[in-house]
Amino acid sequence: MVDHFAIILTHGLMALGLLRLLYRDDLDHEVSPRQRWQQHQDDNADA
Amino acid sequence: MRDLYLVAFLLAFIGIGFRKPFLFVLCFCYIDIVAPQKLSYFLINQIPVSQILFLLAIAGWFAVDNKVDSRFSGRQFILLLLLGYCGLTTMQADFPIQAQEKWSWVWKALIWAIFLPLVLRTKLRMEALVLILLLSAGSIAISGGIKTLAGGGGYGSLQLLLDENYGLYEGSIMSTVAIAIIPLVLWYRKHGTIFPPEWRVTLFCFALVFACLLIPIGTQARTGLVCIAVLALLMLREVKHRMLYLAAAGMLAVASIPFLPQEFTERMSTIRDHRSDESASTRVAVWKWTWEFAKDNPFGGGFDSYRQNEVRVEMSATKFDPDRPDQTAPTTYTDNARAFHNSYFEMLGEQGYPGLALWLLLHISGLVQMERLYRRYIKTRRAEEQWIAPLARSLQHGHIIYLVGSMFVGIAFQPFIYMMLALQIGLGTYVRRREREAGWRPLIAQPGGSHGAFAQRPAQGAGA
Repeated sequence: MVDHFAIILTHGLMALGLLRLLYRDDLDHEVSPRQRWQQHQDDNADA
Repeated sequence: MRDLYLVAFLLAFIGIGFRKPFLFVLCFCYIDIVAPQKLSYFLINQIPVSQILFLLAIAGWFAVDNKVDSRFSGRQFILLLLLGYCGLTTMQADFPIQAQEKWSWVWKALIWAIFLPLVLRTKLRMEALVLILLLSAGSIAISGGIKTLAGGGGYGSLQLLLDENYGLYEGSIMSTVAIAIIPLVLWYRKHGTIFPPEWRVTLFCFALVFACLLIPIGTQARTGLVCIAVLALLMLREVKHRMLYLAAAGMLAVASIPFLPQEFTERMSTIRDHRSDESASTRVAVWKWTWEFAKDNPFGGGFDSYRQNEVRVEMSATKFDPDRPDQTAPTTYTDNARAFHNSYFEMLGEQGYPGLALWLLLHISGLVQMERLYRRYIKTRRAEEQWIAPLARSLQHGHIIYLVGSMFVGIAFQPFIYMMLALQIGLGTYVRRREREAGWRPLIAQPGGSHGAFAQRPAQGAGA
């Protein structure tokens, strides 16, 4: 009983965490706020 | 029933890995810690899931992952040297068959520790790995913690999910690891983004910390108590009001004694005098044997070289115990093939002075690197860098607890710890890469969209 509870709780949390990771763009490609600001400046300069 | 949801979870995990290949890496870490193939009664216990995920993770990285941000560091080179050296000693081992058996999982742990930092190139990936490590170890800790609370436990008798001394499922090993992950749990509580800080996350984290603190009590491993004492001392570096913390910790320790099982307090009291305790006396004798063995075998005897030891142990007299009247007089006995029960002597006896030197260099450089990272980033005011110093400190504290626990358990090649080392290396290379990128900022942007002259500024540190 205790083992089932421990496995279900932790695996459930892992499953929820993995689901959230699927929809996070910054898992594979990270853009820092400063890089985003610089890109915005570059786009404005191009425009 | 357990088989069904373990298989369902594993299949789902592998399935989403095809969408984001980094998740294969997390899946392998999960399998390495929890070993669902061993928890399964019949569905997956015949399938080599570990090998399959190992190959999928590496293939996924080769085929799909962006390698531009991957970096190789000096510590990975030390790991590579250690891998090569252990391979050589295995070929010359005193017990070739047993050495080959241990080598069959050691090389995987080392290869994984070398590979893992290459994929940890974003903050979210590091956080995801921390989460999987904590929840995987947590599944064992929560089970053991609840059983301890319910009155179960005893040295060698607390069943941690799996009734087998495999990986983290051995009492003394889990005692050390459970305490070592507490700093990381406390870090995640404040800096997680997959589960952002809120009351439910705080509740779970504190419950997990409590479960981890119960593991040394349930397993009655003296190692665990020593690790708790070290953790309590290390927390002094974090708390704002040290005297208040010391008073509260002292009162809590004293107040908890009446609630502890009698067998636990009796076993812990043997820490004071090893000569009256059989297992502790034998260990000291083995360590003395190893020291002498290394003088004649400076390159070690290969894995499992302890099998050739024969020790003579002298136990001092104990207080009169009516249940064991024969143990009141001093006794002498011999024993053989006793394991090292100490990672330092394990390295010395198996890999000799060069192996021990490499291993110590690996660990000491990790502690130093984390301290440097902490000091560099503790004062940063940038929001996106606030998590770095606390993570460096948590990893360092977990590492110190492991190194202290290692004095009483032979876990020199425990895969969980190598994953923590990989996290340290990944954090170091990530921060270094960001600092170098920050130095390549264009100072002048020409009108019309073309960027003319780029002036290179030196890479900036925190708060600069």
